[in-house]
Amino acid sequence: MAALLHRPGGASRRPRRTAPENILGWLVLAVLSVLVGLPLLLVLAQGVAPGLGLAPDWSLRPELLGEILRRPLWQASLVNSLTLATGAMVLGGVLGTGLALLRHTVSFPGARLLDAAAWALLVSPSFVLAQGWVLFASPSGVAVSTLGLDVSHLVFSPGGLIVIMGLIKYPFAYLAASAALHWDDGSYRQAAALSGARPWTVLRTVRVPLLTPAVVSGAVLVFVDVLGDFGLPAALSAAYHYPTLPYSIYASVRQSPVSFALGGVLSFYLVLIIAAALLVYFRALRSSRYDFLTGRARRTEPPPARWPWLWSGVTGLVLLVAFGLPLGTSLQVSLSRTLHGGPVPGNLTLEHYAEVLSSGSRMLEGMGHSLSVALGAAVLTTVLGFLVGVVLTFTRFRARFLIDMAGTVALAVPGIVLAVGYIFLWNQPVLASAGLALYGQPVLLVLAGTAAALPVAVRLQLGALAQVPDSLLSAAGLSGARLATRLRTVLVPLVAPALVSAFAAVLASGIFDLAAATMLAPPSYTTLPVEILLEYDRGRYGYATAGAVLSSLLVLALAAASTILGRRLLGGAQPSGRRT
Amino acid sequence: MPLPDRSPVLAPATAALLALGLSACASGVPSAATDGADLSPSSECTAEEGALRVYLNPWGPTLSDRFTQDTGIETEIADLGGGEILARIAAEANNPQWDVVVLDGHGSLEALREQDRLLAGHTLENTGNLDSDGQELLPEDNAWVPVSRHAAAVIAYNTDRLDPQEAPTRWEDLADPAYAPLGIADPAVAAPAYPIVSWFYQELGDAGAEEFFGTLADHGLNTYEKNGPVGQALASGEVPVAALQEQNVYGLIDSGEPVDFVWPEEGAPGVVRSAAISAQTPRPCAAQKLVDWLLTPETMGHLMAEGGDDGIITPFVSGTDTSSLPEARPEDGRLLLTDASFAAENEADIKNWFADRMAQ
Amino acid sequence: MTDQRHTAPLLLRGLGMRYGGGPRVLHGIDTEVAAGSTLAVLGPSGCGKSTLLRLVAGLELPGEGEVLLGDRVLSDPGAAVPPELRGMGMVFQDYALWPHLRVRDVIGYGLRHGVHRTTAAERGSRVAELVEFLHLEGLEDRRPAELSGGQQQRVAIARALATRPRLLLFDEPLSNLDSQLRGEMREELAVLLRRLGTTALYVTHDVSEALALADRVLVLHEGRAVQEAPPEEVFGRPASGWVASLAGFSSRIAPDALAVEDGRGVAAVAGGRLVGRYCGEDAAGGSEAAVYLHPDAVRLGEGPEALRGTVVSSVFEGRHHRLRVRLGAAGTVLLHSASPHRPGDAVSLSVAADGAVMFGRTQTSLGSTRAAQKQTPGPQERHRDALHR
Repeated sequence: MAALLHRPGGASRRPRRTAPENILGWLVLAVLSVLVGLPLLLVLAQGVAPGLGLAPDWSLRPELLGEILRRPLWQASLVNSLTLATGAMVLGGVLGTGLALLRHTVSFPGARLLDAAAWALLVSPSFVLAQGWVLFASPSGVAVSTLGLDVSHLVFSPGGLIVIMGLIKYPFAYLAASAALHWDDGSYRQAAALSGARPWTVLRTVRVPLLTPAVVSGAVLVFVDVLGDFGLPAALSAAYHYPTLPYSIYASVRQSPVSFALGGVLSFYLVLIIAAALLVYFRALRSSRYDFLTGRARRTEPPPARWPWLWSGVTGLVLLVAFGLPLGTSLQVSLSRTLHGGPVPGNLTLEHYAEVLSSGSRMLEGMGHSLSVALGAAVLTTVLGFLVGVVLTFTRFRARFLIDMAGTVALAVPGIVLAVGYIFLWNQPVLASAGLALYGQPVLLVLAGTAAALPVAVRLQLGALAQVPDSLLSAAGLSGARLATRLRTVLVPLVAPALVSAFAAVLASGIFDLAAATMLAPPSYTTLPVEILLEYDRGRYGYATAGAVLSSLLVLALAAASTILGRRLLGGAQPSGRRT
Repeated sequence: MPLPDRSPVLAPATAALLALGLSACASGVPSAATDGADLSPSSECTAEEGALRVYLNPWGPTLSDRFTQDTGIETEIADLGGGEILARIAAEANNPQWDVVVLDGHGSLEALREQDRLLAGHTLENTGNLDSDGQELLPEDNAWVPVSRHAAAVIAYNTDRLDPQEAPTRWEDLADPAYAPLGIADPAVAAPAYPIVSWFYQELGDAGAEEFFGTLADHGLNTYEKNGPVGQALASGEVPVAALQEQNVYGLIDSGEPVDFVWPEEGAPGVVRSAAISAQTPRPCAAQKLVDWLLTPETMGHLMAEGGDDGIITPFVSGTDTSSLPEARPEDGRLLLTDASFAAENEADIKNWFADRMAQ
Repeated sequence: MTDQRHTAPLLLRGLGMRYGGGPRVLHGIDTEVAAGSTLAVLGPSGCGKSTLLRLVAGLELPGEGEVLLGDRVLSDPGAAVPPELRGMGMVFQDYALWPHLRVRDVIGYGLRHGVHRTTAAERGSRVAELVEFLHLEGLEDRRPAELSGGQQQRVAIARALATRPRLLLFDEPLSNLDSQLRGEMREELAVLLRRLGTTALYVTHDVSEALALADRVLVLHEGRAVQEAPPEEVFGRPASGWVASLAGFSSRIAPDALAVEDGRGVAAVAGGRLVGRYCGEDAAGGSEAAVYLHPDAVRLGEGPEALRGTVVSSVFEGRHHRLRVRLGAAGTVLLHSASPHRPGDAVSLSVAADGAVMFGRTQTSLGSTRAAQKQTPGPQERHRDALHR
């Protein structure tokens, strides 16, 4: 555990007192406090002490927390959020778990596509997908103009939104169940079968209990993500009035009349609900850690399916509905003169693409800005996530639990709340007079993007770090290598694949970080998500979707390129076989 | 905090943090509030260093490019929705990041004036160019300046859904369920929407207005973030009738959509486009130059001719060439303006009531 | 290969340790390892021996006490020279070979990174030297996963030697090998340690390793040093019954009576009599008389002083049968027999004198059944006097 202990000493005869692991620990903790802790505290404080940090005349008014009972808009937001998140949790949980069971029980053509689709959905911006759905289903949308179906009443209803969110967010449940099923040791089932249990009994008494914690944790992740999601309500607001907590928080701060206190109150409730859900999540996670599994269980290819084409069809259908429908709609709209014109030759045009790609287009400018912000955030997040993982995994730093907590808290704080906190924190005149006037600077987007992406980056890397035995670092230390050298020559090469995938994931999702961009971008600093949403809100659907389609392609290309490049750069350092 | 020496892993993070510090140092530091009475008129002062930061709802680069061309003063504009501008100004209350604001809705600026957020008491050289309607609106302390006015809403209808003789002709007709659902822009987001709603409050009183909008909501009231989507919904027939900003109506007619409109005889709720200067601006001279520049017939003529939809207005500046106005616009359309202080006083309550009503 | 000039004595003074607020895992360990000699730290898992090794390596901070190598203080409470500056080499239990590096880079790691950095040429020749010394020729470009267990072991040793450490640490290095390979490597290591002449600390739970490799053995029990002596003495005169069982005297029986005659311990058990080494009171406390027998020293056979018992179980183990025999109320003993027996068979046993150690309170005589001999003065006399004082 203590492989990183101690500060490199000089030639002195007496030992030194400060260990570099502690310096690293405090440094990481300080960075996390600024990135996550302070902004969140400031937001939550607004709920009871409106004006704190914003105006000289703030006051303590805890009764504001009760205000939620008074305003219909907030009650509606709360109820809508809970309805949507609960429904999507059930639907996404069932869909994700079912697909994972299918994927790992039998093999059939195209089964691997399910894995790829889950990852692709996970990094896809929910507001682009949601816009696709809105454009498909709205009364003047593609469903009517192309298929002649008016599905608007089906889709623009709480049930319809639950279906959309379930389809967008099911990958959380799919990946959690898949991870558990990877280690589903066949011998457990065989032992049960030899004891006389019939297949259904085996499923009920062995497989499901082993899988339950993973299913629960996956479903809770769906719940948490839907609850904090800003993309759907943002895309939806143009077509259907369905206020949710994140959207009302946004509205309280970004629409008139402005009330930071109310944003704080709503944030307080949102964070509270998510924190409670995460408690359930971590409990489920703890009980799913069957340590004895890892040693014996093997990854085995499932047997061929009896009706492979049936399952291929099911896979195809899921992909078609989850991906094809919203993205296909966006593609069609981006190629059409008018939304309600339908797919007739006269309505086809490339003019929107030409406009996006014309020199000086705001969409291109926004792409450039968002790309550079996402790159900055991806670098910072990957480095910071690595260091957090190192402190958590390999040191006995005293305040480790605080770092662990900050990571968890960041998971619980929706991007929109964090962004509000960034306004409060960074627009303090004190900071301005100290030369730290970051508000209104693009760099704030990088910081907010880093904070928002950190939990994912940490979790992606923790798994890899946990597999590296301490002794590999101790051995390097005893060979005379200092902390930084140990990290660079031993740890980084060993966890390089995790570093690369964390980088690619943060980069891909960072480009479309709507919450941070909409709240924090300097007014004259065009960003991609805001530009897409702005044009969309203005009713310029063709232009907005052309931008979304082009930038999705860009993101896919970037993620693929950075993965390939990273693998190649680090290729020489890959372990070729089992670990000793 | 000391870093472990020769630490290549930490180097990028360090570099990023350093970059943060540097970029932060480069940004401007706001100065204390300025008293307008101490300032020289714009023709006698020299524009301060740095770009003039303008938050504006209409005109965008058409305004800023011409201003820079005419005066040599650099600008940095934020072209945002009206609600967003107000929200930003509120968020930056103790550290404003803007110098001049140009906004549709004098009520909102009046509210800012009452909060002492606007530069007041300064001399403007071109207010004499305002016509009598403009002079009447202009506050004594010049805190905000009316520039032009236009209809925040006329009664627009889809000609596929309604014949001209079936179309509503008066605002109260909209309460007829036959015209539901009615399309309207969200007053929390779209700047021109609040003047519509506030006029009904002023005209009908709180209870009357709430009853009116309550009835509309019961029959079906579709709110959209901006006037653009309201127009799209009207064109597609999603809503048969909409309270739509006049410019959007002309645009739809022009592009051949099945849309026509009625300018009610009683008048259409009007929105006053106004400009104001931040009380804490570090560039009061450049800001005054911009406002004075706005109040010239040449500027207004240019903005009307080149401003596209934003140029379809009735200017308060005398002598402006208005030949660029579209044919479809009635010359004698009556505009109903909400009293600035009434609009300012009731802004939060009215918007909150509206948002809450829509959530039910 | 001998690096005498680099070696130094290791001194531990009152070394103690606890993790967090938990129980103490080491209590005041004091010992000195002479320059060039090997100290084996012997004990079962959980006795604190690995913690002791990690404290010496600098991988843990001691709660109390000091570690000195030569005249250099490596750690005192709350502060420590970091591992990379201690000039030690360590062979890890799991070898800790970096899976992403090739053998030559693993061995040369310390000469390339950190404080022992040298030129590429020097590194190359040192690696070649070690490859030859440890018979790793032809494996230089393999990765650890492509090596056998024994080869991995030798690479780990080569890496530990590469930086010419003043102290070598071994953390149960043979425990991951199968039993046959373990015997071979034990031999190889014994030869290697003699040839190197470097001070070494060798942690193990296997008594045969400790006895084979060490100049002295430190026995740890629940974090305390219970005996420190040359291997012969640990085997021949264990400090306590617990050490005796650790040393292989695995059968504990309770004699009817215990006495010291002619400097030898004599015990009356199960109607017979056995002779062994009397080791005084059990250092771990308890004055009850106890006799510990090594299975190899117990034979089947009649005799005037033979112990009588009944076979409890008999298990065929290839070269011999493993018999468990109950000696009435005294307990059971293990022995190896050439011939099979059935449970319930009555047998007689004799015990070789070097295979029995005795602890606890003695009597002057074993009583009437045996010819009481006149006591002669000697060390045991003093001992007995001490007991009776």
